[in-house]
Amino acid sequence: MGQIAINRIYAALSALVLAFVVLPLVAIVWVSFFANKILSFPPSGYTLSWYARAWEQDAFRDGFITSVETALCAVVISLALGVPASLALVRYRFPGRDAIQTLLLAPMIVPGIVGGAALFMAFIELEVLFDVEIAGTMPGLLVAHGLIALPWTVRLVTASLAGTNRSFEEAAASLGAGPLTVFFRVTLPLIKPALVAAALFSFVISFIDLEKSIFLVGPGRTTLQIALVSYLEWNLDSTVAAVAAVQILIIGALLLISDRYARLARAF
Amino acid sequence: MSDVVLHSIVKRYESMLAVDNVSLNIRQGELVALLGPSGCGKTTILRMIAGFVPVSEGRITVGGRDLTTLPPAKRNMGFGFQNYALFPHMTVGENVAFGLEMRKIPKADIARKVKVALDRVRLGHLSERLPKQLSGGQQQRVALARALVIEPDVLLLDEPLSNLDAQLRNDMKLEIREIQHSLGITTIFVTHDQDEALSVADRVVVMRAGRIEQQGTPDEVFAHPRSHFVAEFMGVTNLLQGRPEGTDRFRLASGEVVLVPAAGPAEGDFAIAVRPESVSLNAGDPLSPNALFAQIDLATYRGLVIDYRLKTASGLTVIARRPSPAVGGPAPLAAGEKVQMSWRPEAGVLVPL
Repeated sequence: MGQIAINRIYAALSALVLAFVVLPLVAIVWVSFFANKILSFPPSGYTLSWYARAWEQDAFRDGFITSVETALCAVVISLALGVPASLALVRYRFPGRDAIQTLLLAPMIVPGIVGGAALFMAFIELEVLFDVEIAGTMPGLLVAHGLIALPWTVRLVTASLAGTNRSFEEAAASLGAGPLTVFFRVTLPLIKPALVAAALFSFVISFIDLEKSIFLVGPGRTTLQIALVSYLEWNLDSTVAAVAAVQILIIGALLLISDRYARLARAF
Repeated sequence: MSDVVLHSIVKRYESMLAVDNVSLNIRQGELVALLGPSGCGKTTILRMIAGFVPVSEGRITVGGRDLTTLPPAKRNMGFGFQNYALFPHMTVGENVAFGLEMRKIPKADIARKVKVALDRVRLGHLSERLPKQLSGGQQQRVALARALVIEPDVLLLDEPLSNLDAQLRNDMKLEIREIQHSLGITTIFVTHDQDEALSVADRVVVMRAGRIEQQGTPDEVFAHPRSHFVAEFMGVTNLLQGRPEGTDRFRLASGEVVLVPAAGPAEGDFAIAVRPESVSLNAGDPLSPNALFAQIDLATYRGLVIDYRLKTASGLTVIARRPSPAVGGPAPLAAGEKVQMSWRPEAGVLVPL
């Protein structure tokens, strides 16, 4: 009897938390269909016109393309750096290993706005030193986004490698495979689920970033999130809700896919 | 020729000495079992021979060729892993072909050799399956085929039977032995199970705390243990402590004097190792030199046998094992009964403590 009561309370609390997380998302999708000229309640009717209007906005279209390009590059950077780093961290013991692991995971815990400001200042210093343009350029933005995505790759791939028995790699080596062959023919296929999850997660993390990007975008290179903030400064209609709804759809789909490949919960 | 020779090899892990100055000479075609409890260094030796673990000191040669510092890929050894380590993303056929591909052998030859190797372990019909679709015994046989198809100089097996159930283990034991004999391949086989080592190996090397404790044919090690550790490991449960008196007498710590095989004069603390199977109960000769009166303290029925724990008035505890009535043994005795126990002097082996 006591246990049943506890289970009920637990279920109710869980439902509350879930509602707390999901309701805003549902609300914004709902609002995106309101016919009201200015964002207000209750709805005077329903329409799809905000979606059309969102698509007609150059700022959103270009922002979307920039965001996708940036996110794809972030995926490439974070995998190219994160996979070899994870391999070294899991498979070898060397001085400073713990420090390097902490450093690689640090971008995850530094507030985005702090990281963005730090990068911006670092870029400016470098510009002064080497007389090249970095802040506000595409490469500068890509470095930043690679950096945000990197910890997720390191976290997912190290967890996967640690859970993979070394004997597979040893078997390949004793059968005559050199280190590179072992890596490409045995290690990579074994951790493929983690690689897919890391790629999708890197994409999402880069795509939704606002705080770092806000310091680093330049004229004509605005990401979707920044375009949204700029739009909100002068407008208050359901266009923003429509853009948000589309994003929720895309990111939700990506997260679902990556969760199928590697249980994300296992990486934490 | 591929004699495997370990020249005083040492393996240190920080302050821990895992392998302490081990020298071993394994002849071409010999099947040697490294036997010992976990942590005795047997697996570390195997992994050093394979090249998975660097050697701290000493050298390893195969057929006179020094390969102490060669990477595993250049040693031409077949390794059987405890968990089989079949590549999960490759079919059985691809697994077996892997080592041949690494040797850049023409495709047609690979297909032929893979078929021969799989037929040898009677799994030719499963080459399209994935490892996870096979039973444990089948996976083990694929692992063996994969290790052997590259025609290695040496076959190394790490606890190859430990993940199989009892019946399969017996079959696999025979299969490993048959394949090894028909190919004549030098084989080193690590196990913690004395029965496995005795029934498979030509030579048993008993290890303890990083050193070789004793080596010899299965019969030598089983019948003539040279230390109480080996005696215990070989299943001798009675280690009766005391001191030798003269050449063939032994005074037990509990006071009795018994006869032992003449072993020459020896000083210090010893024990006589007597197998529980060698202890007779109520054999009928009260004047037998090794006859002691005792009371049954505990009787344990174990199916084929019954184990009796006996205690003498002087405080000596001895285990006696008799066939149970199920296999035609004498009627069981009850706890509390008084009996006379005895063993032939030759049944006792004198071991230092």
